[in-house]
Amino acid sequence: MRFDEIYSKRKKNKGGITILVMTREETAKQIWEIIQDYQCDWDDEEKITPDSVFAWALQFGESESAFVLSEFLHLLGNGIYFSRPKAKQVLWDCLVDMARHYKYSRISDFLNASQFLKLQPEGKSQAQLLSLVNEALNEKHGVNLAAFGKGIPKNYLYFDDVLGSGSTIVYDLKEWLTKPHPSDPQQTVVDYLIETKAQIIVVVFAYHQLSWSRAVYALKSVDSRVDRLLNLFYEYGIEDNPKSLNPGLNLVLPADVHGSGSRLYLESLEAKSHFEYAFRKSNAPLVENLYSSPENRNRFEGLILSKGLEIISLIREQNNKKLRPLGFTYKSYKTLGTGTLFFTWRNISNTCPIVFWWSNPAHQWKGLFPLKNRGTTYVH
Amino acid sequence: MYTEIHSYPLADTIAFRKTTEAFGGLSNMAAWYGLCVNDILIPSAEHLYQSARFPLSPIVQDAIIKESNPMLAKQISKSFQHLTRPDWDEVKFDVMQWCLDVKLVQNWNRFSALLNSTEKKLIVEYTPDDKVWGAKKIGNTYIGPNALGKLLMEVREKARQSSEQIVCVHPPSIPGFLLFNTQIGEICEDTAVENSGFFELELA
Repeated sequence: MRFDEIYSKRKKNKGGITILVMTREETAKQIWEIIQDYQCDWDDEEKITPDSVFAWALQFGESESAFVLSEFLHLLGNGIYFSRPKAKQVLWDCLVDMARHYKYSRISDFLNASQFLKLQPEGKSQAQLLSLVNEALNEKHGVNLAAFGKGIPKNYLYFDDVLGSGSTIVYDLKEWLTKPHPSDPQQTVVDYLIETKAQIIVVVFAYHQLSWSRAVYALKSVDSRVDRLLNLFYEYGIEDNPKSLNPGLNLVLPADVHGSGSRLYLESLEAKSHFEYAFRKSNAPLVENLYSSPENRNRFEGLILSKGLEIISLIREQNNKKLRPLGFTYKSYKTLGTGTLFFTWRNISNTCPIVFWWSNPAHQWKGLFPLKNRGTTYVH
Repeated sequence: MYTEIHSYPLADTIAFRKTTEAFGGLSNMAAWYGLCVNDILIPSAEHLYQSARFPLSPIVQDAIIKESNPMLAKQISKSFQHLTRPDWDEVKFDVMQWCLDVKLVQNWNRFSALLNSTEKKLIVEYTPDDKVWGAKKIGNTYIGPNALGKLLMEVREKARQSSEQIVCVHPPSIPGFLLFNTQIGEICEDTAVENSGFFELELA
């Protein structure tokens, strides 16, 4: 009897305990119910359907599709997808947390002492998140963000959805910090911030531990004091530094147990650094808090990696040295990719494994999350 | 050598005590000299030094590093003194030297400028009570082992003698030099990163 035939039996009686099992179609529908508002802000964008979820899983092969669906549903149950309503609530909670943390007696006092940075081009996540903050503020108190921030700011708030590689924040802040300050052009923004004892608060839904460390460190090249200006507020931390204390490794970071393909791929890269981060130790994490079991982690990570490697092998011209099976990373990194396992209703980070977002009929692959603004840029 | 007591005439000396003073940046407690070891952000040289006491107690290291205030981090360290590595008294000067080297390499422009601004004067950590790291003020002299001041003068010499920016620091040759159960290796400042397009604008 095939695995999915066994799986399709709705009820089993095992030792007197009734176990409910779902068909693949039912599992796909449950996944869709969680991620159905993906790109809901854009009417003309392709939408995810229960059928598209099912079709995505089938690409892993008939025998693995049921497992991919059930494990991905389990992962989603651990809060790795932020829908629009959840994102709005998180942003509001974050404002409340920040106001409390910095000892403001009212949120309005905090907002009056804050400036919302708009450093990203229109259409990028920052403007959309600020609009969501405004929406939340309007719903809760009937006021707009524009009503606040008239005084001299003590807090400069930088919003973004996911801190994947950290390159966006480094690029944005570096440019801003080195500009002359509008109210005192003799000084750069960084000098002004230090002199006025202001702070930068970075607010993200999710961040990678390693990328945050590297981003902060990279920003020190602007001024060695910058790290003391930076504060981070987040809802979901991705513990990916294997050198930290008992990291949860809540991402796709396979152990080196999936055959020689990944090794050969790594050897083919020109990249030379950070090879020690390419694989996790086979006994890590110490406690499994994300996947349904250590065995299922191994199996899921192995499938995501092998399909990613397959897709990469079909790309004829690999001009982009940051593209890896487990998502974009720095071109100098001899790793399999960043492995982000976190998604929002807005878009998907290119640091997620490519099986989630790569789409090209020539490579016989269609990603689970349709792309809005990356599209065919890297399709060859 | 570091425990020998010396006298430092006030007139020839730059002394520091509080981080807010002109030469406060020489203090390990100075907040504007953050570090990064094993891709882990360390708020100050004091945090790094204190966490090095506990290579076999990563939970204590974590508590120290998570406390942003260097003075409070030191207090956390004191409360776990019974867990200090047994050879601490033999290795602590090597560890301190390493901490100062990391501080220099990772804050080259600012820290080397501060060290150079002390010219050829003697450097003393003025402290009324420390019997190892600082010196007391008695009349027109500072008197004490002043181990930190001596190490800072060595770092100053190192910075001056190097024609280019020093980019790498070797770990001290001591066993079990661990942070969170992971060996601390050579620390290198990648000056090429800045010009290599390492942090290019993301597409997402």
